[in-house]
Amino acid sequence: MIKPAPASAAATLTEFRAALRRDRLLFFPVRHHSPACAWHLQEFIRREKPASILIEGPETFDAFIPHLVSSETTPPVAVYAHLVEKVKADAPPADKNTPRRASTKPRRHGSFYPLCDYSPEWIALREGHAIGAKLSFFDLDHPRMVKASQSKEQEDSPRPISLFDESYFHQNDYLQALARQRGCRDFHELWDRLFESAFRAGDTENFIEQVASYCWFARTHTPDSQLEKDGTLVREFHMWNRLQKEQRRLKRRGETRPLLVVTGGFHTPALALGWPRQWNVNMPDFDRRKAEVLEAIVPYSFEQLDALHGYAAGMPSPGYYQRVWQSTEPDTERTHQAVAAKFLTELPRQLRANQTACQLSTADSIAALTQATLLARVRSNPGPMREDLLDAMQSCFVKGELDVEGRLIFDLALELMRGDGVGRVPPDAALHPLVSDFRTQAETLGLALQSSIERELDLEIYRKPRHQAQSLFLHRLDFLEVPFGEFTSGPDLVSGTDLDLQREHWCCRWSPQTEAALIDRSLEGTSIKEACLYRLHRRLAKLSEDRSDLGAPDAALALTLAISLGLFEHLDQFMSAARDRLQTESNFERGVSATTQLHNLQRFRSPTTGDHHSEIKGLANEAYQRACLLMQDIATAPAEKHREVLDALTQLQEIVANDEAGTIDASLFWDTVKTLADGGRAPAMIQGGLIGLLSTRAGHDPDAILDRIYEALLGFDQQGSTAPALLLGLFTVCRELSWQTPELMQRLDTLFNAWGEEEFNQALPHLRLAFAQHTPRETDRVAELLQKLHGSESSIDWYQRDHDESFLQENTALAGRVAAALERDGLSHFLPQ
Amino acid sequence: MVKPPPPSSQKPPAEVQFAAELCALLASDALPKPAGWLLSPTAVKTFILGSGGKPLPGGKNGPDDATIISQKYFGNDVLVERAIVSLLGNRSLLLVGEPGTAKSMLSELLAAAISGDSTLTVQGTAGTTEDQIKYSWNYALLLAEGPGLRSLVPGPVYQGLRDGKIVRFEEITRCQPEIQDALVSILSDKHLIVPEFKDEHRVLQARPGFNIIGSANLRDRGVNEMSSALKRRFNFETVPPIADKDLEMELVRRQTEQLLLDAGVEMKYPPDTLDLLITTFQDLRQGRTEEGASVEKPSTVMSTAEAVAVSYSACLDAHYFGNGKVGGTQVSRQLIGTVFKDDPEDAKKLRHYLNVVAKARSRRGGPWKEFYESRHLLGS
Repeated sequence: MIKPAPASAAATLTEFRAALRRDRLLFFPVRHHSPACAWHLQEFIRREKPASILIEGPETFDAFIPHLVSSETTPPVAVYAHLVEKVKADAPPADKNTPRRASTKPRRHGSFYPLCDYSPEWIALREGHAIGAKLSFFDLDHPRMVKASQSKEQEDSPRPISLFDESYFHQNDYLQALARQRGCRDFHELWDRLFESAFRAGDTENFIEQVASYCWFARTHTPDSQLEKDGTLVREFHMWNRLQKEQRRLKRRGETRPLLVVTGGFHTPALALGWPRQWNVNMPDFDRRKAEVLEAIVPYSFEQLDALHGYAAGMPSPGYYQRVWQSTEPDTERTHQAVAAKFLTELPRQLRANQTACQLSTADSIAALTQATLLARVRSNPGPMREDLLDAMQSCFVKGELDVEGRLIFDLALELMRGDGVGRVPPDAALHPLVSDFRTQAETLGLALQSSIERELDLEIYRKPRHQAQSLFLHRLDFLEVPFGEFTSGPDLVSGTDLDLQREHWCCRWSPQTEAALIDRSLEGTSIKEACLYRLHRRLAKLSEDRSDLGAPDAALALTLAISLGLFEHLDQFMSAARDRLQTESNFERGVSATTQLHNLQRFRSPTTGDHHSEIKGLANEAYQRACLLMQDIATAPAEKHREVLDALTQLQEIVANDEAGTIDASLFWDTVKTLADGGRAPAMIQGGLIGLLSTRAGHDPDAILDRIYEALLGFDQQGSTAPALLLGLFTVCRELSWQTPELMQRLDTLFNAWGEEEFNQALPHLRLAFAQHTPRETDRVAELLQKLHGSESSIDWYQRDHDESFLQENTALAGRVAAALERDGLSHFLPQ
Repeated sequence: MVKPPPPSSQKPPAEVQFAAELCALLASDALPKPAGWLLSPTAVKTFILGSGGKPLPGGKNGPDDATIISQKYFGNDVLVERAIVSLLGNRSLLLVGEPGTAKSMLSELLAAAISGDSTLTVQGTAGTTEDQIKYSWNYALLLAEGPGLRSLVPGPVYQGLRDGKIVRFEEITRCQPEIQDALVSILSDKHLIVPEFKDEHRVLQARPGFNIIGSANLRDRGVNEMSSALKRRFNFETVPPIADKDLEMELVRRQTEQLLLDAGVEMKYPPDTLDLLITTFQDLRQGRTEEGASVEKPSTVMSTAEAVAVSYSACLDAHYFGNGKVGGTQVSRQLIGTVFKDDPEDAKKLRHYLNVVAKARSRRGGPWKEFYESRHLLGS
């Protein structure tokens, strides 16, 4: 049994509220990063003057309390904890389906304990320090916390999680229903309306009771099985024991001042009502020798604090709440009014400074502030709060489409409300998790760090898992531009070269610059993998910028990088970015380039692609379909792009030809080619290419192809005959036609003979290009064919013999003078090498 | 303030249709009302979004007649809240979005709940003139008596200003820009000058409660761009199309059956054909198929209203020219005529959709197979 069955929820709620304040024991339930909680807690500590404060957080963090209360520390800062479990190589796999490799890989768990100015935990530390209270963290230590939670144990996550997990509130049925009933969009808005409205207002006792009741309902509507699974019960059991101990200690000392317990409100019911007393909990054991533990205090940023920015913890828009916290207004109404006014004037100003297409005036700011204030009044908020502010911006600032102009404004608004501050830690507390991650991995992989002698590595990436891991490590460092390994040869998915090679060659050399570069990258993440992810995310962000001229190939490249850097847990985002870009790609050549990239990914799968292969296949197929759709427009391509269009057509044909597995619908390509060729609207060069393509299709009718060519050869435009351009296109795609079909040569012969001198000279450049693509052997074959056509029996004499020595000398001298003249004019690059 | 219902009409205005609900809200509304408003902002919101099944005391037949307020607009609740607040402030409200997203219905409901009258309406067209908006003259009286209140024929905006009511301006961007701009001075000064009058009637001051709800299509071709002076006087609210497939299917089914009933056509509508129609509409509207593959969005509007039109004509097609059974062929035939009107690019996009998406789904047989096989209708 986990908790006593309540006779009625209301009765126990009354009991619970009474238990919050007992004989010299005070509970303060909080929401992490809540200015209202922080403000009331500050008042509470100043008034109650507790002898000792217990704060939710791993107990080993006590070591950082001197740093945290130091005047040299400026929030936001975080305590970073990480654990690398060394799993024994001979450990049996969990089940037969798990590959052996996974069980031998060290598992890595990183967590942040972030604190900002308005974190109640921060206030507890600072205010507690000021009144001389004993301060301690009293939660399980980080390694045992990880052990206790089954759900977090499964994966090796490159992105550290926050220790302030709020998923219980987000996913809570009761709170969701409450939010719906109050007309709130989500849990954040509900919280703001109910509690942030009491910032610098109201009675603290009453506030505590309200928060406690709110959390009580969240807690009693969470299934026990979930609490057991994620380790909450074990943690609460530990916290409760520590609480008992501290109470006894204070009693022994005859302390008259109270003990204050500051935890997330979700845990308060269990601690205040003593539920853990009846629990039977297995405390996880942890062997320090089998793991590597690192804990450090690091600077943190508002960007990382923002719940809307991919870090699933804490409040959205931390910069906004920072302003609320720092405001000097005396009450909540004026505070929110002032902060709203500030943002609503700053946003138009920033838009003007950025010189965006969308410009707003002071009148717009005034209208938006009125709108926000009225919205707040209709919603019974004390002043315009965060959601009122955002709604007012939408009503008064966005005059066009929501996803165009609206996005421009909202991106900027959310950025302003996010804030850009970075915290500071005392110099003696700094440590670089990234460097430590590098050292651990290099050591595990047997890449020597002791010397700076260059070492060559020959890696069989498709056969040996260890080599694979080394390759991945080196690729990641390379991507981060950390000087350590140099890729000398091997299959390269990114550039699409040497894809059939089986081995990679690297030259590795450690230098002090290696670690210096890592320290430079330390803001990008706490592990090498995370830093790679951060960089790739930046690329994705660039892709989604409005003005970016990046297209589908860039998105496909980002996906390729994500795969070759082994960021499989996050592949979905890269997939969807690639899909989005494909959807909006309007250029045929770029569409084909992305298709080629994706098909390479699909064909030459990286040894670790594994489960994602079918998704990649689907995406590659989608790209192919898109390319076929875009192909319909090639007839309108400008003249200078014809060459690129032809190359793209050939590439697409290769994809179709190489698709032995039949994963794509080849008929889509061939039907489009045929429709375009039949339409006859394409420029001659592209038309030639299309006919050339048709002649490579299996089972085509050679006579029909010849008919098409003959018909097309008769074409004319303003410049004269289009036959030369047609031939250029034709032979670019399919040179074989020139020597395999004597009829074609005969027809060309007749055509050229019919031309006058001027016509022929005009056609010559194109004809040269058309035939220059032939290899010497192919040229010979064409020549032999023509010779036969003209009925000459003797073999061709390829050499000119009627020149004497003086002729050669004169010409050599002339060539020398030309070379000198070109060199004088700085045009020496005109000369053939 | 609520008018008694007139004799039965084809489509009574919202304040008549929902008179009982308005009475109930009026009776139970204890919150402060803005000057000139029939109901408090909260009650206006309840009128549009419903009371969640809770009966309110007081209906048409006195205080004992408990009335449940029905939900009339389905979609974004916060949007309704923002729209109401926009009307409270200094600016007017412009509902924008694709055709067929219930903008007009929303503006009618707002006007009915705020002013008890949704009939002060200007329907914007290319031929709308300034006197249709402001006022015109009864020329016989004008000649006989000269300009005076008797000879003046008030337009909707004049009436709205005079009586402190909401004026609806539908399809505002269909009007010529200079006609649209006639609103600029009215919206900023909140008065209308009648230069023909020389007496105290020359300036008509707006009574509290006056405001304008405009509606405009952002994607309609051939519209006139709004001047930025006018844009500044409006708060824009984008009304999104219905994203929920089941809800859209239900709405289309209900409306089609109603239309068929009105036309006296009796037929069964197979659910798989309806599913095909709505899936196609949603895929093309979002540019993404149910399976997650991307497709090209056509430039034409794929609204719920268009879906109803296609669905209705497909039924008529099957009834009069087919065997009475609506299938993929009829849908495809009507889709081409009704939705894909003149842009050859759109035909290309629909062909691609048929070749790629419908082809894959045609393996399931049924209407998808017919739909795919009718691709020749598009020509090559």
